[in-house]
Amino acid sequence: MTRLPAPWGSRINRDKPVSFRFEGTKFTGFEGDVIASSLAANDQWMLSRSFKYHRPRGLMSMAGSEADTLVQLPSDPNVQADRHQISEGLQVTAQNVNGSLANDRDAFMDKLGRFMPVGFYYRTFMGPTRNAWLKFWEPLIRKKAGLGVLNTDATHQDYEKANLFCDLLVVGGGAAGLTAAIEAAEAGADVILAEMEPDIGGALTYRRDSSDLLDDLRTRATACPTLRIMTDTLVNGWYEDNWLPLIRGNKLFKTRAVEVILATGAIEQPAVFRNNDLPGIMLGSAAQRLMRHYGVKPGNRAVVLAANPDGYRVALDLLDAGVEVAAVVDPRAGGSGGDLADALRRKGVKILTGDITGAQGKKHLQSVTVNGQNIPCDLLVMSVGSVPMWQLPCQAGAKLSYDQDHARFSLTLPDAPLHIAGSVNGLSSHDAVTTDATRAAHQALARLDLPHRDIARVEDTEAAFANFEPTITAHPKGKDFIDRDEDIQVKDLQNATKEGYRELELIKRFTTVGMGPSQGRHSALATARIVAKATDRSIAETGVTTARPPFAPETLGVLSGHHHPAERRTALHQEHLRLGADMRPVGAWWRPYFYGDKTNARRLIDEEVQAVRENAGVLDVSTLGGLEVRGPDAGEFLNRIYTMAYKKQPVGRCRYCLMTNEMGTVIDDGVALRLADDLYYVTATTGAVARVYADMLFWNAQWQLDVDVLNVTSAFSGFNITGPNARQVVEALNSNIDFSREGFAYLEGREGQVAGVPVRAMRIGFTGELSYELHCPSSHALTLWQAIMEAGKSVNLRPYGLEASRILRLEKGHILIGQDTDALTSPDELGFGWAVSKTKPFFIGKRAIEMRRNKGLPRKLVGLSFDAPRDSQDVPQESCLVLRDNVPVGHVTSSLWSPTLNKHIALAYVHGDDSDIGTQVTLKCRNGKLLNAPVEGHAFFDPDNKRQEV
Amino acid sequence: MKTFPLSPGGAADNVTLIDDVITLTDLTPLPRFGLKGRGSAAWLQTQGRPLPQINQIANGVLRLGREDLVVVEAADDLRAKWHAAPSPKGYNAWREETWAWMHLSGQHLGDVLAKICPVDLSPAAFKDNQIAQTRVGYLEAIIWRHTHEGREGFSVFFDIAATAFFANAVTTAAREFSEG
Repeated sequence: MTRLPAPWGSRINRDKPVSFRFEGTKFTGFEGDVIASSLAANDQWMLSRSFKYHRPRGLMSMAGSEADTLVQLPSDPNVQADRHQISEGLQVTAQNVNGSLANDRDAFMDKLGRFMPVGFYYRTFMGPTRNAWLKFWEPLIRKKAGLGVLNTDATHQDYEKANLFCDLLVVGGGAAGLTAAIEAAEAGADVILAEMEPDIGGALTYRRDSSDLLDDLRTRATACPTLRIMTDTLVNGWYEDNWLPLIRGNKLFKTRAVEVILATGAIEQPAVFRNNDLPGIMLGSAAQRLMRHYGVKPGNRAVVLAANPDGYRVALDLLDAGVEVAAVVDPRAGGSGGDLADALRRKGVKILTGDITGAQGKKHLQSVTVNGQNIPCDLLVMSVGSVPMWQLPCQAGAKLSYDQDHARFSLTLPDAPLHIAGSVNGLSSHDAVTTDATRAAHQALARLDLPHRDIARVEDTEAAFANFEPTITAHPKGKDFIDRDEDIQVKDLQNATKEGYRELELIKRFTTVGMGPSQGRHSALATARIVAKATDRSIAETGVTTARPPFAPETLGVLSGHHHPAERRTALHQEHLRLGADMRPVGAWWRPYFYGDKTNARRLIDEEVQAVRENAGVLDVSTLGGLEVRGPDAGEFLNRIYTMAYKKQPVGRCRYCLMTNEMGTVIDDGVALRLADDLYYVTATTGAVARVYADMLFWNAQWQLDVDVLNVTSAFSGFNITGPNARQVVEALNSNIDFSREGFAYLEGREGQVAGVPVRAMRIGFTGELSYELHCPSSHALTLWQAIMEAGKSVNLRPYGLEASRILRLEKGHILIGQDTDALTSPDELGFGWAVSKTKPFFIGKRAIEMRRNKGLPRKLVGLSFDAPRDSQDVPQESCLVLRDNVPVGHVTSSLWSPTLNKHIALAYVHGDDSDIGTQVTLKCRNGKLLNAPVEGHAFFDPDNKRQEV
Repeated sequence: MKTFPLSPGGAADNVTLIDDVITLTDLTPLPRFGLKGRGSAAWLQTQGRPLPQINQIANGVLRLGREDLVVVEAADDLRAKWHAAPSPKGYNAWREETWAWMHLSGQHLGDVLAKICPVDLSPAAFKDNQIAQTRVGYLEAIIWRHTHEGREGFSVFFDIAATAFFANAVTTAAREFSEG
């Protein structure tokens, strides 16, 4: 164990040991430990193998910003070991290994680097034979690609979403973020502070000499009632109008902020030298996080590469933690650590001017080469500069530029309710950072119309020393990694420029630099420097690649949230259940599929069809779309919306409605009942009514007619009583409506009372039988239904379900919009020329229908029937092809067994030249067999429509 | 006899309304009378009802649009007068049949509403008598701040056919607070 005594280890609870397994071996850490820290405390530094060369890799940033710390949990791949807390019994395994982490059978890949230069994918996978990609490379790459394994049997988890609102959102809970949030909250703003770490403080929680400021800020923060602090919360992007997704565990907070302050900090950059990826080599901040957060001694003998004051502070920290510091190496020409260097010297630490050119070791660092000399060590910490966390600011429109004098990137913000503060703004010292944050807070307060004041900037005493411009030269033997995620070395980038690539966006795609999980956090600056040098440009000219959301990986579950499939119930839902209905979802609606024992579905459905054909059945049609079109111009409005004529439609009459769009494509159908001169009750198909309603509102707004349109789908329920004995049923109802043949003709409609319920009655149906459709306000639906069922007892009225309805309509050849039509279907293709007015001056689609008619009929919907046994596979089912000269010219849209006719019946699109009755067409069954059948009319049953008009 | 979704035999009568960290109260059977279309506003004004601004509620009238109004109180007399009146007088909006009416209140009201409604409903942002036409519980809905029987909360109108769905959605959203 390499644990340091308290007060090292602010995040761990030493009283609560936690055991877990990594690669099958049991380890023990403490509550609050993350996987990487508890493994490090047990001297397990290697966490993974690299993506391409399978090199040993360990932690570098302790900030979840590189692929090397991704591990596999039983239910989750790609878990960040340096951010994921251990729990009792947790099973952790390494990713991207063939065999085990310690003995990876693919480790030989490290020797093959010279055969895999950048871009070799594009050349190699083209050959050697024409189909080599499909037969050889693709299976091989599929096997090797990917990090981690998805567990398709993972247990269900709940994912939540919520909306948050605030005056000010501060992103980042370090010195700058805390200061800004407190300033704004103390002035009365409603503030949310989001911090991705488990505690607030940012770098103050691990940086040397920061505890006083941290304590002060934490104390002030807890005294702010309008400050909401959200720790463990990742702000994963910036979207228009200050909409930001905050992710905490399995919950997504969709946050809308009036003002935003981005105090996202800066991220340290690694140095570039041969074998700079060995376990034991880490950033200075990583060593400090290990010590101060988790009480883990990062090594026994260290070399510190320090190009800024923080590097010297790390060295002092290491000494305090009992780590022998073999040397501090400062690469700056004439570089000096000032007072910090003096303090180190007084403790006997050698300060060398020079650079590290290489590291040695197999699975862990053993020595580093400094100025040509090897220094034995098991730890190398690097503090050579940082880049601002520009991702969120750039997503919000900030421009990134490069300050050559200070060797750093800087951000320029757009004129927007957006501010940056602290180290993301290029500042380092505590004074400068907190003053900058105060300034940002008061700028936000001014925009919020809250008390504010002008804040003067203070000189940053450290900013000039924070970064320096290293010379990056490719090591002759390579393995000087720029992008550890993708195993990209210096020479790879140089070679890309030799191939002619100059722009970073193209170099990124050619080399894959910056395309790994870290998204260039540790590679963008070095890449820019290498490409700038190789193309003889400045870094400002080279720039960096575009930063897009999300900032960090996010799960699909977080994006999805709870799965809430829409559910609508008709007023009779419980009644259907009581009657034994097999309820199934049809779109959002739950409808009876049939009634009775589920194991006898076929027989029961046949019986329901038979009941309608021979006696009487009743169907709940409440899901039909219902619209009221009312006003003096209602007839004119419908004339323009539908293809038939309605202006002169008599009151008390029903008329078919066919709706086409501007392309002349059929998009809906229904029936319009004129209830008064200025009132039509119009039905629409269940699935399309919302669209029809929206279209009607749109056109009404365009035309400015004196019309009001209302969607009454849920307001009205409807029941269709149909069959030869339907009249006996309705005449037995206690009603003031004359349901007799003479009193209520086919396609007529009435208003009246049935069983005390106000109803709208229509003689319409979908079955081809004598039918009465009774609609009533839904709150009366149960009463009406019970009255109908009571009245039907004398003829044994039977409720029937959706499947019987589908069969009954197909026997009559009635179309279903959306099933028998598609995005191109014209009325002529359906044989519905009779439903298109030739005299109206205008309706939507009129011109297109006429133009399409002039072009001829490319296809037509026809009836087909097949005399095969019921369960035969030699029958074309829905979507089977219609062939002409072995070329597809159409397809089957509906296909069912007709229990009435004892044969298979279907509707299908055939070639326009084959649509005459009796023409033989060829169909291809699902089993591949070809079948010939003669074209028939749509109506297979009662083609003369005698039964519905009795 | 009228049957509403949560009445015995109604479409959602097997659904239990949550009464825990949040309380869902069914007000669907309460009377209301909606008018929509040309003449609605003028006719209501002739009945001595001052009308609020759009997206406001006042004097028992909820105003959704220039000519889209709902009287949210006992309105039988008003309805009878409307039927008897000559046009223009607007058209029946069938609000008592198209909408379910639920009231939400309780300890975690804000937390739950934050999950099921995208509008900032905090007292500072959403004042008394203000209406939002938005989405609540994954449905198109109308919401307004409303104290019912002494319980501060919000009333919501939504598609009556989705009563069970709405009740279940609220229960699901509240679960994380019930579980502490």
